[in-house]
Amino acid sequence: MENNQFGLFATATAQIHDAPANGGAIQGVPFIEKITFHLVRLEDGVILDEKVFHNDFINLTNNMGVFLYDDLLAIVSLRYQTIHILQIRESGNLVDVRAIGSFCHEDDELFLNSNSQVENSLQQNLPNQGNFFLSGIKQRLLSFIFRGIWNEETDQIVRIQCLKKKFYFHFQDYVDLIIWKVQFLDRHHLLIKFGSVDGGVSRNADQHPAFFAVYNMETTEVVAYYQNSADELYFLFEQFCDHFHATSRNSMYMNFISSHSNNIHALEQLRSIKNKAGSFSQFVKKILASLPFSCQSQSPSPYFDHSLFRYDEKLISATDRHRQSTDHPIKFISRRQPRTSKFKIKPGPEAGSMDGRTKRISSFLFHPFLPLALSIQQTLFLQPAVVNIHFRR
Amino acid sequence: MNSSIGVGGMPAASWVSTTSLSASGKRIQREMVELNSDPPPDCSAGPKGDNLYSWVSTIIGPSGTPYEGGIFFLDIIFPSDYPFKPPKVIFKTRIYHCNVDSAGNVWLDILKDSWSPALTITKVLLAIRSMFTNPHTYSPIALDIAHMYLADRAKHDELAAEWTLRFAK
Amino acid sequence: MASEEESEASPQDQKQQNPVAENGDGLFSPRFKSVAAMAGWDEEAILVAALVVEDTPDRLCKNKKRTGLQFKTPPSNSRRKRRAQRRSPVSIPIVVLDLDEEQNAKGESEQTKVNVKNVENEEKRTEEEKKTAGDELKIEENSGVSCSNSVLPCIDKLREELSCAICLEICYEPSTTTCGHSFCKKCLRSAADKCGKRCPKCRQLISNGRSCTINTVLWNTIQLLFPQEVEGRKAGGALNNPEENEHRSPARGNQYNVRTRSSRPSLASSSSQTSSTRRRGNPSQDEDAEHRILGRGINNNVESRSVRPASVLHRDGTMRRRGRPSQDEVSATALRLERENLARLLGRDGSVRRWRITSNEDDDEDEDAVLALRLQREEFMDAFRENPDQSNRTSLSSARSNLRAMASRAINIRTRRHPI
Repeated sequence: MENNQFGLFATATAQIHDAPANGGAIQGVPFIEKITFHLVRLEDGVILDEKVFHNDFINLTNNMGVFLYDDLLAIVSLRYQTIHILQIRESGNLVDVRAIGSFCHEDDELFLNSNSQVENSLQQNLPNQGNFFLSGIKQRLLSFIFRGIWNEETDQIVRIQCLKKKFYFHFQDYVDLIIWKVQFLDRHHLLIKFGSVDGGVSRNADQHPAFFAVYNMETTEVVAYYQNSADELYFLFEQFCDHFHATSRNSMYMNFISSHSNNIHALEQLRSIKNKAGSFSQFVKKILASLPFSCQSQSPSPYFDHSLFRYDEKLISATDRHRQSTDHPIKFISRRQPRTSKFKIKPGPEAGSMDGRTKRISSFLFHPFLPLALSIQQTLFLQPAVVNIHFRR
Repeated sequence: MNSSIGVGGMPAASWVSTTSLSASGKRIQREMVELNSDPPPDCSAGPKGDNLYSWVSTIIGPSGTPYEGGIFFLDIIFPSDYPFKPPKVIFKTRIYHCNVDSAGNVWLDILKDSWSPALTITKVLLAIRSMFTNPHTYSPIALDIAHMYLADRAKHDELAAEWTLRFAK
Repeated sequence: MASEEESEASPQDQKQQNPVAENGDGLFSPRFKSVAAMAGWDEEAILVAALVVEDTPDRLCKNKKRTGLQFKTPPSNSRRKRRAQRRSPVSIPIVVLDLDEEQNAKGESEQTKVNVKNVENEEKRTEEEKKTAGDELKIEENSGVSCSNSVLPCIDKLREELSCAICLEICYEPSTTTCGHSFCKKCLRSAADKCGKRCPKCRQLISNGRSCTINTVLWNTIQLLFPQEVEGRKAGGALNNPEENEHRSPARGNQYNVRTRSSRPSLASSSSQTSSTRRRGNPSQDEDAEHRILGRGINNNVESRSVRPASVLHRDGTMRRRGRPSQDEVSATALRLERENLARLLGRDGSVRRWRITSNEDDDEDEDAVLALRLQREEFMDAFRENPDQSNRTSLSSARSNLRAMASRAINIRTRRHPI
């Protein structure tokens, strides 16, 4: 780990939609027959270990469903609503640490089975016994919300009214929430985004209501809970954005990601968006949509430092995202000497597109500190992607 | 069922069926008012969404019991001919209790044979809450737990507390 | 059953006594007064109910009772005086307290005397209010807020006692089991059908759930105490009734045209919501009513409306007795009017009730109108319930008429006494 000796790769078979929801799987999520995570030693390309998920759904695009923090790996099984926490050992092994979902403690299931053997023998033929009960994570979430409302009001009758309106009325909605995405905040805390089933799979998740919860894996407690339109979370995000980036301790340069919390220009940009936004809550939702951060999605390249260069965030940004590519070169303008274009990146093949109508999707990958960048361009219709390497001349 | 109500000397049987249907709704609504104005300790309940017949209830584990510190969610499902048939009460939170089966169903006599239309949800919740303090070991559904309770109360309480900690926090 | 009624009445009796004793406190909370007033009415109402139940066509007996009721007015008059006298010592404690500060003693005692006078006046007023309130019980109950507040302990307890454990509402056509528990007839029957022949309350075996009969005494009591609820359920249940009524009404018009004529002004006021109409029309009607009562008129529903103005008058004393145009409605038009009114009434009532349920604001004027309507409607119902021949009309309505007569007379007495 310390010396970047391993690489983690995932392979997957094709998605199968309209999968029947069986064995505790949630309805409406497609499944992939086999997803394999390979731990590869980069030195010689030997696969040291594998972790296989069968008939599951893990969102691999853009590392949505996985998050690597130091030696800890979180994998979100959308289909079974479980967060698998794995550890990559020095020895080159992938070790299951815990699975958060139906149970919270790593030995809950064992405990349950050892304690209710008599009952289980009666109920064994019933499938997905766990479905009768709220999953462990839901129980924690709901009891956290419940306690919040309960403690908020001291008057018994007002409290009951409050619970009725805020809690019971929405109870089923809470129960129906699914885990969308997870990131580590530190070694113990996860930031979990909950949302409706529809929003979890579809791309434009912004319209769907979503909630954030901070969960402590050790104490199995929900520590905080926010709506995706919560001002409070937004202000935290605005001021302490860097704390949402869980950076690995061994990659120094990851600390230099330019963000609105450490960069006045980025903050200005954010504020101008805020001022332009029609409604504040809409704006908050939009901004918080970037949470939880995807692992390795932020490039620490100095080219993305707002105090050095000005560039069009719509065309290119430190966040690794696919964008529709333009034929025009992307300009980087110096902050020091205003209006002087320092350099441009021409995304398309120099020859120009074969025909203007085919949409091309491009994404850029900048080297953390060296002056080079990769651009990957894909057309639809499964044509081979074009990879360009951009150097500074 | 229509005929039985319709005998009341009232003219048409057609409206009887509709009123008998809404009669249960009316009664549930009344119970909601009653419950909200005078809730039993540690208990609360309310309909899920706008479905009057499907409620959720929360019972906070009473202090002094091994269930202390737990928050137990229960589904309450009213039959359409409520209050003449008992509501179905199901634990949504795992609990180690001799009157709750492994699927969470509550096995209380008043929810089965001893149901009376004069009982209300408030009384049912009170009964369940008292079940926390005094398990009905004479009519258990989980025999092993009842046996444990009678044979080794300390062990039973320890286990129940552990369950509460693990599954009901 | 009689015993049951008495037991019901007795706490009220106490209530009634209480104000006499406790008025001495000098606190004179009008709320408390209305409690007493209502309690007073209750007692009589129950008496009347008992009369109805007795089902004695003996006219003499009824007359006796009625005269008895009527003669209650003069005694109450004297009682008022007595009480007023008794009350002057009541104010003494204040005086005594004042005497402690010797200097101001005299002046203040004078002042307190004035106060006493005022108090006396007020008491007279409230006394009258009490009587009118008797008739207004229903009104008060309808106006909900004031009622439930003022009678909280009593009426809520009653409500609880008289509720059916199955539907949790006031028992409708209660049926009593052998073990002594009462439920709505329908509820009990359903319970017996679906849950076995056991009492829902105590699980005792019920002999036969099917042949349950209405406990008439209890049912009448409930109807008297909670007319609103009963009406509500009646309306909810008998959807076709209004039509029937309408069909029948013209035939009956002749007997009741006086009644409808007199109900006309209040309808107007209820629709226009102007208090002026009420003020203009009513005092004369009060007198009318009095005359009629003196002449042993059977017509009795004028008061249902005239009662309300009385309280209005109480509220704004300055507005009392503006003009008194005589009532010059021709009885020939009565039939037509009656039809109109009835149609309107029946049409209106539904909406009125809906309005009542949804809104909790106690806008007095609206409330008044609605309540007047309700009273009238009730009387219509009474009319249809009883047979057309007047001789058979129960003493219930006549007793009510007496009460109302008392009320209106009280108003007149007062208005005479306070000409401005």
